[in-house]
Amino acid sequence: MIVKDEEANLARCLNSVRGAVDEIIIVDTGSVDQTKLVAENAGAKVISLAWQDNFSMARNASLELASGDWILFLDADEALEPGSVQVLRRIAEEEHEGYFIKVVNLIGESGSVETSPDIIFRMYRNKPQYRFRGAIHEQIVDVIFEQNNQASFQVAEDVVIKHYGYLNQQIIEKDKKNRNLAIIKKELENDPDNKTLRYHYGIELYRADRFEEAAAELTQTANTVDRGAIYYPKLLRYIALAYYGARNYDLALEAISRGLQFFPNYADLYYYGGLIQLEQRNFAGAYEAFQLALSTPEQPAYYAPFSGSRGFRAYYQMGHLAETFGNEEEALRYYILSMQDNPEFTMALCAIVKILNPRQDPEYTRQAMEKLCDFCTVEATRFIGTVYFSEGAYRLALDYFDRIDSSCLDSYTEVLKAICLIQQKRTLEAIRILDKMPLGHPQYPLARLNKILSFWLLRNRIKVRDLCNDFLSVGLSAETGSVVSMLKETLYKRVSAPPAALGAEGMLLIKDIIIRALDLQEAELAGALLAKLDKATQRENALALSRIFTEYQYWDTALYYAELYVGEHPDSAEGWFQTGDILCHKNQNERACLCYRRALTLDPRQPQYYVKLIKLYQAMRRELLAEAALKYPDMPFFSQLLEEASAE
Amino acid sequence: MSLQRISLAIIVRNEGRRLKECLESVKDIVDEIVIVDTGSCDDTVRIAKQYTDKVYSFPWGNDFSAARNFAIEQTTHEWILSLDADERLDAQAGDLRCLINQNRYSAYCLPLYALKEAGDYREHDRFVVLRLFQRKYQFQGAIHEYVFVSDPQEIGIAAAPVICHIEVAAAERHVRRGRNIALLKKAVAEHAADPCLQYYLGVEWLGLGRFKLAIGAFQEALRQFSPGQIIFRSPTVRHLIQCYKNDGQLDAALCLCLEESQQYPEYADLFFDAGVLFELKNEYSIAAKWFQEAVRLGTPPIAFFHTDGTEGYLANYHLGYCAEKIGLHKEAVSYYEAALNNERNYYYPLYPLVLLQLARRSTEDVMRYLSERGYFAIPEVAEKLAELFWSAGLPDIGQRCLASIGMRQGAGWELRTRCQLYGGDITGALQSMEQMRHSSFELPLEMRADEIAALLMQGRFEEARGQLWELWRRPAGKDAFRALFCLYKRLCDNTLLSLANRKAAAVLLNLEGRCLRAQTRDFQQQGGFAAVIRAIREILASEAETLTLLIDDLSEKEQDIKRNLEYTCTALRGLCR
Repeated sequence: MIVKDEEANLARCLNSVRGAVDEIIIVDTGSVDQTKLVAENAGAKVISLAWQDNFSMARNASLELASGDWILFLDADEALEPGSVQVLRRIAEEEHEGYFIKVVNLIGESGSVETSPDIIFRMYRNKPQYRFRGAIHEQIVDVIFEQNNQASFQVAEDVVIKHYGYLNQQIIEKDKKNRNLAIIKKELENDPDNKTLRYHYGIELYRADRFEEAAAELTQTANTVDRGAIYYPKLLRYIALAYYGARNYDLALEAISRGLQFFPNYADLYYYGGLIQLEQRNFAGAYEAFQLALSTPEQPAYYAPFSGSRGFRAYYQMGHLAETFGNEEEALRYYILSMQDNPEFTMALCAIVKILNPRQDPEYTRQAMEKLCDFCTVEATRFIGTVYFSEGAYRLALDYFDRIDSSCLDSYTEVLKAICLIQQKRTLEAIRILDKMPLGHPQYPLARLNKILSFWLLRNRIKVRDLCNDFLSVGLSAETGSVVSMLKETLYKRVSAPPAALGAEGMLLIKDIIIRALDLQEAELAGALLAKLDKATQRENALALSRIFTEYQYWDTALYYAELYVGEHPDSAEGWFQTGDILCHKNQNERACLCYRRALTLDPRQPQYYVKLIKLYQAMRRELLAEAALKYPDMPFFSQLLEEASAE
Repeated sequence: MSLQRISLAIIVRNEGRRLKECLESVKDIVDEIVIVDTGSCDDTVRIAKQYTDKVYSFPWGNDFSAARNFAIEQTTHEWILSLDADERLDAQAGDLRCLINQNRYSAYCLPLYALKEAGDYREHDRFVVLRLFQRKYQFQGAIHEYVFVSDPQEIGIAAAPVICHIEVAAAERHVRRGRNIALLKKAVAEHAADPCLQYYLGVEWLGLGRFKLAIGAFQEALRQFSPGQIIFRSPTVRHLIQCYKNDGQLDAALCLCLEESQQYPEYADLFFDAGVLFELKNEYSIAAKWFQEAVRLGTPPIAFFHTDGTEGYLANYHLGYCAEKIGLHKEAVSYYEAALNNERNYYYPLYPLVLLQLARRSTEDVMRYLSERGYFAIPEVAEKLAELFWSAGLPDIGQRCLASIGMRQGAGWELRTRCQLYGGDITGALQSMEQMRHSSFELPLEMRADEIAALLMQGRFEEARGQLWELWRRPAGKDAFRALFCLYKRLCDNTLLSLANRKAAAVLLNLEGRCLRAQTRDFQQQGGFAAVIRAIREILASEAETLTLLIDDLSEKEQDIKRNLEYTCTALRGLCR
């Protein structure tokens, strides 16, 4: 191993190889922390070497000291999985010259969520002629192959190395990318024809979000490199990803098509092909691509497949497609498949809950979800609670929050719980929780605002006034301050302040408050609050407000805002669509029809516009037929048609 | 070398109007004009005399060669250019001399463009015909006479100048064909061995739509021509393919295409024909390969009979169609664009191209595309596009298509007014209709319905009633009156009258369909259209018979939307072919 300042990681690494190796040689390239001590405590031989921007030089120095029959090399931020030790011992008895080992990269916040494996050459026979080459992404495979073209390599299937390096903060990550890029570039100047180096250079460019350069570099490499190279499939995938990143969708698809010619079972290619076609709004193409991704067989390790490409992610996308085309049943089926494939993939769970509509149908949602999942851990219970909360199903959310012992609740979730209590008008209990967060507490502003709201919703003018003044004196941001002042004023008849102009931050609060008021059927309060907004702010937010009122079925107010919006934006497809939805509910079918049609012509690539219009036509036809069947009982024709129509 | 001179020899009968054009095109190129009239009774001779004093008359004896040879006899120069009155020469002054001065051949074949429409070069077939020759040669054959040159080595084929032939009116063509067939049959009886006669007979039968008879003649001609006689054999092959196709014998046509494409691998037209045949058999990917080959081959050598565009705009147009059928949307777009780039005056690809673009781009983008290429500046195209947008449910866009062309009479005006009305400019549309009346333009019934509906929307009931009475007075307006009177009563008095008439119901359904297309930016105004639609539906729903119509209409509209959805979202493939 070569290390520098790795005291935090090294022990984990060295502990993991205990029993797997007979000696440990570490080259320290200038640590200023306790790395050396940690290494020596684990029984390693440690030598010091000045860092010269060259990984191979350092690695080769360690090889000089190695006396075993095999070399296994690791980085300090890696660790061998427990089950791998015996396998390593066993494969050391086989006839091969070297092994590729699966390296699982832990990414995401806690490291447990997402993994994307890589397959890397890490173990080979210790022979003096096998020495590393290359300043970064130091290479040994091709060296061995040059020395011994009979050499046979194998993928050590059951050996797994976990790589913790990607868990570092993004700033470090960025530093590392830039450092890598600089080193490879320097190396390439000396060795411009080194294809492997060019490949790694392209990937580093991709990682540094320099997509266009990455695509160009990788494409060039692909044109010259041997198609049998172990990294060839990955290379093709990265070309597609680089074009995708550069938003050059046509070229990305072309790269994918080319990749599929060589590797027709490569799930990642199909999956990304699907995503790209979604960007292009080519739904049929995307559907086909995800289907194909799902139908691919188990992926060979050297594809280094991303997890979920042929499972939960593809299912999720299928569900989303089905939803786009108005088929919720089908969508549910796919989301459930997605969740079953990876229970920790929470996006599918959220999508399921949304379809079940917990706000209007809490009991059914609860039963359905209980059947689907086991909310046995505190974390799972908290999580589903917050999902219900964000869908506005406060009572249901509260049920789950209540199951958790309050000593286990984080303060943010406690505020959510208090909000749920407020929405049940259990004000005293809510305030008891909120009062636990005094000035200086991180949740203080949220807690305080909700305390005000709890009284505001009860129209307790005095309490609200006092609390608001108190809160305002703490010194709030301009936007929050305006909202608090508005809250105070809504409870008084006389108008004292001019209408307020609010930005995005303030409107976020306002919309939240409106939702809470409507949830408690306090449309009047909501209206009073909105009346405090100036016209421009109302117009700007008219569509969002219209949606909120639609959600809570205040059709007239919803229509008022929708009309306000299309008056301002006569060419907004969304606006006309929203208007159509409302008119549909108000039974003004003809107007709804015209609105949907206008939305359709303004933006013909929104399947849901078509779907809604089709459903509207079906409903109108059914209605007419039902009337006719009643009116003309002697004409079986109508009731026949009605039956057919109802079966649709 | 002495300067060689050219005489134009031409025979005419009743060709007054066309003759002038013909002579204008050559008068400065030839050194002498000889015109032989075979019995005109119009002003042909008078016109002829404006160009030459060598105008002769020759009695018509059902023998073209005799007349032509008589004309040749009257000439005085070394070289003869032979034209018909319905042809003109598209030449620079030096073109003919250039050929003659080569001193290589004693006779030349020139390309002849058979234009399918007078005017520009749009859509033509290219033949080569022997029309420039030394005076020592003579015509042979009573019909489809040809210059007899015993030694083929003496004949050169020139790529220029071009003779343009303007198609005569259909009725006249028909008369001529009947006459020609009679003459040809007689000639065949006399010279059974001449494949050219069979070929011409085939052409005449084909022209008359008698495919089976044409097939027989062409087959016989084909049997006799040798592969080297490209000038005659290539049109024979292609005409035979066309006959098979029109006669429903697709497989025979395809066989011939395949065989002959091996015989003439450079002959793009054959590959195009095969593409069309495969397309008819719904084999779109195979068809595409043949069209691609036609494009790759390019224009065939001059001796080949050639239909303009088979190697360019026509092939690309068909390629676009095939690509669309396979679901390759992007490719289709680029083929259609290629077709338009090949031939700017061939507009047909514009139609599917715009439809495809509308499905994936904003209307603004499509409009920009069209105006950048200047299509709105061509009134004919702008009108077609307006019609397209109107039927795609975009009256406001249709109106914009017509904005840049001047106010026109007739259909264009009507379309513009309709687009104006349903694009939301109700007041403007009513004014336009008023203007149309003033310029004594007869408003069609449909537009009268539009007008009354518009007046009702604006609450101008008095005027609406006036228009209703005017409608009542028109003999053909009774059903429309009945229909619109019901609408009027419904909207004005809130009374529901029964329609009791399918034709009247159809008037209302049509009006409803047009109202559904309304694209207005104004929410309140949209309410006006909705009110008309609602009233119409209420009227139709009030009786069992019309209710059925209404229900059918609704499900038809539903199907339309489903088709649109499919077209927009599911016909687009890309990744996995």
